[in-house]
Amino acid sequence: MRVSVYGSGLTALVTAWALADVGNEVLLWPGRQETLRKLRQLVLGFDEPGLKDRLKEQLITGRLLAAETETHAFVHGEVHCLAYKSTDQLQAEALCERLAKAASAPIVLLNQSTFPVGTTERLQQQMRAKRSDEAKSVTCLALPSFLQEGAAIQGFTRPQRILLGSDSCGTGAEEVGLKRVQELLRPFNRNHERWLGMSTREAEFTKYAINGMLATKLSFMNEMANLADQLQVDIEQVRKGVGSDPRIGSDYIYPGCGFGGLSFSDDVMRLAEAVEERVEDSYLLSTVLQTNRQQKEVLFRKLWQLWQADMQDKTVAIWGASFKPGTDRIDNAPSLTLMQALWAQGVTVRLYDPKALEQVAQWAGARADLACCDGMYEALEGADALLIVTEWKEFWSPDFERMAQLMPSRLILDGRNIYDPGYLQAQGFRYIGIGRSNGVEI
Amino acid sequence: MTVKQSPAWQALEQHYRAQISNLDLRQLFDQQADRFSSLSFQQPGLLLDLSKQRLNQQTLRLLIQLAEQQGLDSWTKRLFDGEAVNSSEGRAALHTALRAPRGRDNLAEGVSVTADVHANLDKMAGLVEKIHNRQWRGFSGKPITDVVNLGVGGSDLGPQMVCHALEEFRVEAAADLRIHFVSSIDGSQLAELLKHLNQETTLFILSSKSFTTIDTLANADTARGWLEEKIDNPAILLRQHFIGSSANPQKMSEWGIDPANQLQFWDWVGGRYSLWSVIGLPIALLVGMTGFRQLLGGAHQMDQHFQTTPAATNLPVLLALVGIWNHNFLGSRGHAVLPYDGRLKYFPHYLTQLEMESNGKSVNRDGDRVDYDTCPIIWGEVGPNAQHAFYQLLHQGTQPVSCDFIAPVLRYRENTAEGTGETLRQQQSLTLANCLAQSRVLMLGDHALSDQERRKLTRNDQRYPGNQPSSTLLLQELSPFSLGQLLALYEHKVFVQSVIWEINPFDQWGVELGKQIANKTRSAIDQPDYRFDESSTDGLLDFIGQIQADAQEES
Repeated sequence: MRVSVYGSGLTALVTAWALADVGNEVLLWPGRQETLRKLRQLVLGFDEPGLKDRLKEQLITGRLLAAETETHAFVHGEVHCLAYKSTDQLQAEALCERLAKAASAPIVLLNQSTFPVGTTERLQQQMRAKRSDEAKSVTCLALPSFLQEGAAIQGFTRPQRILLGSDSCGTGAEEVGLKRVQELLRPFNRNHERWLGMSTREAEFTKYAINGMLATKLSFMNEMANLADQLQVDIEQVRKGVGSDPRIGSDYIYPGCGFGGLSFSDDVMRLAEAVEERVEDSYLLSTVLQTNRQQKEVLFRKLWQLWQADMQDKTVAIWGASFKPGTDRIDNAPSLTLMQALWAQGVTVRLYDPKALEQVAQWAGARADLACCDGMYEALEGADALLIVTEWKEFWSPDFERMAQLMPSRLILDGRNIYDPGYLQAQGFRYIGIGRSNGVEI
Repeated sequence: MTVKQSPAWQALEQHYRAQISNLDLRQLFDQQADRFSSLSFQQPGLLLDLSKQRLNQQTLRLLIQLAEQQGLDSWTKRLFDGEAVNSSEGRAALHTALRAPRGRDNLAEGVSVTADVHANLDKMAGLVEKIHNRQWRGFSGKPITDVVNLGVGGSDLGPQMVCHALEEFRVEAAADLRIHFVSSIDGSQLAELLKHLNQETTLFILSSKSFTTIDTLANADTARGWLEEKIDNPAILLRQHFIGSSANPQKMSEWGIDPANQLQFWDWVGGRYSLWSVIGLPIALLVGMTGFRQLLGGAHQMDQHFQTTPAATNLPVLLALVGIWNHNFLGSRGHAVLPYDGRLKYFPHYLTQLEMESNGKSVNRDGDRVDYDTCPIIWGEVGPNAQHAFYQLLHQGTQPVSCDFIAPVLRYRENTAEGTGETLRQQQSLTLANCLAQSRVLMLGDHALSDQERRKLTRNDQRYPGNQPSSTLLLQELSPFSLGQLLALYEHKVFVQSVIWEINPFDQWGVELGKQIANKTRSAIDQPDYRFDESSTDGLLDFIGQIQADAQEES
């Protein structure tokens, strides 16, 4: 099938690759000439494991091409996949209007962008209004993206569900559009039946609700962890107990120093603010976000209390800056909030992250109180404490002896609870986790 | 010879008797068709209309001669030059230096103050930034969410009035910051407030010029005790939960304010002129340093206007002279300040201090008793509300009262709650209509009606005599800048009147004795046998003692 994909973010690139990989002829329009140039040189602007090589492969086969202009993409696609960032809604709407004017064939648009609930429906109305000829039909469908940074390829090719929203009321063109998209996605729906059909609004809202639920689970467990600190209870034992209940499950209940990430945090924020104009605020989700904002500073607060509210001229090592392991993305990452809090108190930060250092340097600009270190041990040199913010694999079993030598204070604050408190204590470390009842009270 | 016997004063008395006393305002308007255009005056964004005052061009000329005779120009120069115009305390009164831009050098008693002024503004900017960035931390490490200003008099009235007026200019960074004002010595404000605040996230500003004001220190002790419930370490308590603004760094240090949290102003800033100094911290927290500097900018514009404009078109001078005319020649004993804008709710309260503490005096600069009236009783209220309260007396009472009507023209152009923009703009029209209607009725009385309508008024209690003088001050819009202009306008008005009355407006000896006697009386309350030399206070003390003893027995 001939497919046009619009966008330059994770969802757009993974979609373009995956559709080309199963034999479709894919034309990718990233939205801007400048982004197009970068894409041709395979500069993606983010780091997703395996994606770059796979894109290169498909560009070589010629099944994936970058479009010269958007008009090429308009006339190419039998299906048009719209995967713009949630912040680029206006540009996306303008693009769709141009598409409606330019394409001569019936249009099937698959909206993968995270826009407010009701957008797909509205896009369809707007595009139909731009079509002069009734025969030139427009069908818009919603395919909310559930891709997770770091596991996006697997997420697209072996999805846990394919949630497809359509507002077909049985007219010929709409049925044809729906069938065409189902055919397009058939290769990813082989082993089990993953289809979940519903209206476009329902599909869009489901995505928000899922993320809201996950965020609520996380913030709830973080609140439990803060209580555990005061009640002489180890939250890790409690977590295992809670997770053993099948009604709750063991995912998204790991206490830690807050969650971040571009789409996850943004989606929850949007949901909390207003899922659609004229919908009332959600108090529960506002609280979830508020809790998370405070949680991002939890390591700071523990250190503040430990050091008696005087941190001037201290040096702190931070391991991990990306919002989760496996990515270089730092959008809404707890590390950023933490560093700002430390800097404001006159602390120098020595930061190590396997991938995100460049992003942090760009975000922070040149400053004397930030040293980006090439190695995790280098970051410990001269540090008065180590803060673990992202649970990269290489942090799980470090050389504790070497750490003790580099950091005579032997103070570790673990924002991801990756170590065994008893073992670290035996090694002579002062170890403070999240909700592990072995640190200062909050 | 006192000013009352001086030629210029005598000329005014004679002028009153010969030309004004037998005319009412209606007749004055009949005499002069262009009365409004010749008796209204403008500055950028401001219009002052004096045409509803009981005077004519000749009156103004004579009043200006009075000002000249009293040496206004030289006094103004001495004020701005930083000479010790506060004669009884031997100090300059250089609040104008607080709002002068960086490049302009100001001397207080010969010493440059510019660097000190800007150093403290910059230090304040640093504190504001830290709080706005949510990086000022309470003892547990959480960001501050509530700031409580503990201060009284000038350390309370000015900042509170401005914060109330400029709420809609609140900066985004202060969106979640709550600012509270606590002044009363009885602790009633604090007692209620502390029930709702959290020690972890509350910061106190101790605002006191002398840092010995018992009202403020008593509240501070209560605040400190409240914090001690949660904070064991006194150093952390003081460093993270108290900022001091004072002209007395030594006392601040003695009380325990961390040097990093000390903001300073100086003896040459009077308390009621101090909102332009670091006492304005709550204002800066609300509107940001940019907004605060706009406020200073507006005041500076008025300073320059006052300093450089001839009396005949000088707004503060004219406003002051009209006041002199009303009180000393027309015999009005009261002056009402009537803002037609709820945001200026505290402006009359602020003015009661500015005017009455400055000019409510009966001894001149040489220490002699004066034989003329000085500051009238000033009071006021948001105009439309006051219409339902004391306007009855203005319209039909037995004494002459002068009024200032103050209103912004434009309002509610943006940032109104959903669905309210249109109706709120209509409310603004209604408010302006009321403002103009009231001053018109005060002026014309029932002659504001057509003759036909007037003839229907048969009873005396339906009649309105009119002839009550008023000034109207219209602002294009209320903003930090225009509010700065407005406040400086009144500050200089007060100064000009003091020059006419030959009094020192910058001291306040009249508030001292009460404080002193309160200390003695305090011991009397604690010692039942203590006796005064008069039976009233003794009797009241006995009554208090009896009730206290009964209450103790019960518990």
